[in-house]
Amino acid sequence: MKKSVMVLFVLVVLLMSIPAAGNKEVAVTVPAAPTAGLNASGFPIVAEPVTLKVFGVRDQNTAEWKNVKMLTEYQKLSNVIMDYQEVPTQGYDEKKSLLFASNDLPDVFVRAQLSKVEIAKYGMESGQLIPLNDLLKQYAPNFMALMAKYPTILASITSADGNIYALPELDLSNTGRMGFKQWINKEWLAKLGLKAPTTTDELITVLRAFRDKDPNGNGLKDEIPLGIREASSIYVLGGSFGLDHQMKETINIENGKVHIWLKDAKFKSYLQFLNQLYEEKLLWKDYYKRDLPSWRSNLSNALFGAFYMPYSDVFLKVENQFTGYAPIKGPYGDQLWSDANSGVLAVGAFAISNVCTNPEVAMRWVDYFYSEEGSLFFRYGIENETYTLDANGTPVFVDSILKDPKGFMTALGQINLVPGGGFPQVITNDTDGVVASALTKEVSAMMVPYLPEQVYLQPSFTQEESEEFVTIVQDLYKYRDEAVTKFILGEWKFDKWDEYCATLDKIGIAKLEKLYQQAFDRL
Amino acid sequence: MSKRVWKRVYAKLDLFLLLLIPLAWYVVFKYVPMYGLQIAFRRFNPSLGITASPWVGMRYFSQFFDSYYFWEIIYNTISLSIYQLAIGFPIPIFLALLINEIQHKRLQKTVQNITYIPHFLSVVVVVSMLNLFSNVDYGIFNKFLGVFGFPAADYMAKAQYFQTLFVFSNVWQSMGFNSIIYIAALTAIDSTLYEAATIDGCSRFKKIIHISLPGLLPTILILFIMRMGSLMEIGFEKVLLMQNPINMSSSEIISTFIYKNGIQKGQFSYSAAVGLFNSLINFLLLLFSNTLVKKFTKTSLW
Repeated sequence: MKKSVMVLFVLVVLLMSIPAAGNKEVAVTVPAAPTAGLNASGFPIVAEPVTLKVFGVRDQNTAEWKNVKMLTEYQKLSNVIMDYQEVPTQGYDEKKSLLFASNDLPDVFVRAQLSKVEIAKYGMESGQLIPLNDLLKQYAPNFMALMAKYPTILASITSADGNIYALPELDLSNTGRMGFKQWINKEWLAKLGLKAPTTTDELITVLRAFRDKDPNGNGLKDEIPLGIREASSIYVLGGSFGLDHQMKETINIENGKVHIWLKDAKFKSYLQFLNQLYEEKLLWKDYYKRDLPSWRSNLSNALFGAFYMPYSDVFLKVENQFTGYAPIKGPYGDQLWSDANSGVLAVGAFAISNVCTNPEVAMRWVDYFYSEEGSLFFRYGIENETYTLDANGTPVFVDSILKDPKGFMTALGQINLVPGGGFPQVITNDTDGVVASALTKEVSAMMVPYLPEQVYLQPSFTQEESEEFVTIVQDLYKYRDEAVTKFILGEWKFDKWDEYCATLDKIGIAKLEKLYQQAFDRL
Repeated sequence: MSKRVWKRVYAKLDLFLLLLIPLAWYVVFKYVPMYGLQIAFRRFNPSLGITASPWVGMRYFSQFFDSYYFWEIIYNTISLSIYQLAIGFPIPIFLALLINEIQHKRLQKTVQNITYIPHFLSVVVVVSMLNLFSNVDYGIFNKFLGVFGFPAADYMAKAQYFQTLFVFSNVWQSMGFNSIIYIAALTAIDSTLYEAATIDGCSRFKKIIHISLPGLLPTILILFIMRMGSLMEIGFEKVLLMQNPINMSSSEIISTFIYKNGIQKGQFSYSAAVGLFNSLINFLLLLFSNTLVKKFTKTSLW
């Protein structure tokens, strides 16, 4: 009898020990001395193959990374074997958070979409990302050259403790100077005898004509006068009301003063303008539903009269129906295009974790993509195989990619990671042509004169600031997004405006402005 | 323990070994993870691990209590739970009584099957059905209500309809399945009682009131207590899927709030604190309802 009790006891102990084993805490490893056989410059990077574990997010148009042509070619060239463990966009945020929380880290993060807050948290606070400053000086001549040429890059990527924990995606081309470009259907305009609008009033007139006069001539009222892709892009016309979009937020910066304009009278009249568009059925009615499939089908069927898109790649087949126009003048005489970029697109495109034993190899691996040559290689691939140079020396993809029956983006996703952007690289006027068609470049040029003089990225917060920032922002921006949508849809009437302002005060808009100002002053 | 107890255990050793499996499940998946709860009181730093992160006391709790959305989330969670309980709990009982009254066996089985088949639809399918049904242009809700002159509206995008849509689609989906246990309990009632009542001249309605319902009562009460214990745990996936920026003011509940802040934004300590608070309320509700039921009847969990 005693025996069987013992058996029971042993069984219980065995079962208990299973979860305990999983909870062992991983010790922090210190990077070892530089890898043997590392070449300071040129290829291969290492004499003997080195394997690095990579974590990142895969765009839906991209093939599995281990099969992407550019990456396999680069592996042969560099002798660095990347063990890709990429995750699809859906559910990526969860996976990223859990990865850091469980401290089960890869060696490097590529196309990682790390935010400023995350860089501060996992870099400055927990030390899971290592500072790259010394590595940059020693092993990243291309990136250092770019920083020397464009001093704003350094300020945008430096954390509050003076360290750099992540490398960005840089877009130094003209098309990259703004996010959304504005497009309008020139065939519809010609048919109705209208000109592209220059003021907000003219815009409304044009949109009403699009709505009522069946410009595509199919006898159906299927035209959608104005397309805005999602709720977060609703500020795209704010520039015409003097509402800039500095630090990629609802912020103006004048004479060194940070101002969140959510309570301004100009913003109220902007919302009233959008509300009018919505009530008159001029604005796409499903804009707030995050319904990308129907957005794309409306675009490729040319059902939108006017809309905002960064590139024409999604509606390439009908792009000739469209043209650009200069930003419109608002009721207060403002004429500004607020969706501007500083050249630094994604701050957290690349990072190295503290478990990586060959950080210098990783640094050399990524630095190549910050050179002209590397940019061409990353974006276009191999000359005479994936692209050819035309008479002007401009790279053009070969027809098998351009005219792939599965679509250009899918074909592109087989050879590189351009679809979706966010890769650590530099994009220049010579290499932006992958997604920017000639027309996109033309449209961008029309808007460049109206960009703000200076564009600031979100500044870096200290640990305490960051904690306070997150606490306020999670309520404030949530409330803002909800309120803005309700005002536009007419769920809330504008007599609620004072209540809305009072709520913003209560959540702490003044404190938030102060936090931004403090961090901005450190730049 | 005395020798006699061990002897009795030994006699049924196979049964006790069988009990070991669910016991192990509880230990592994319910009790062991509880040690991680301490991060609600710590500033969790993954590289230091759970036990070495610095203590911050009640900081994350006060952050939650001071949050602008605190009362809204609590109100949404509680009102949705109570609505769900008030509508969703009694309906399966009525259904079971009705099905039990059907004399024709084939018809009875058919009705039972039809009502419980929706249970096997996935949540995603049900929510996309709701989306299609409430479409302004071709949705069945608008087509139907339009007949009575109601103006077309997107019901999924109206905060005031969120709870009703949620609760009634749940009822539709789960009433049949939830009624199975009651139907089983009804068949266990001694048929001689019904015969005696018939002889005494009882109508069918009287038989339901005086025989079926009292016979069901212990089952109802136990299920009620259990439901109270999980009152604050409403179908998380379904709420999350039904959310959009417009109905957020009535659709944000504690569990979706935890998911967004904890899992998506990586604020593990904060969301652990919110989760602990949620469980605490659940636990208190369970105690309360159990005491209440114990006071009026003899049925209780312990």
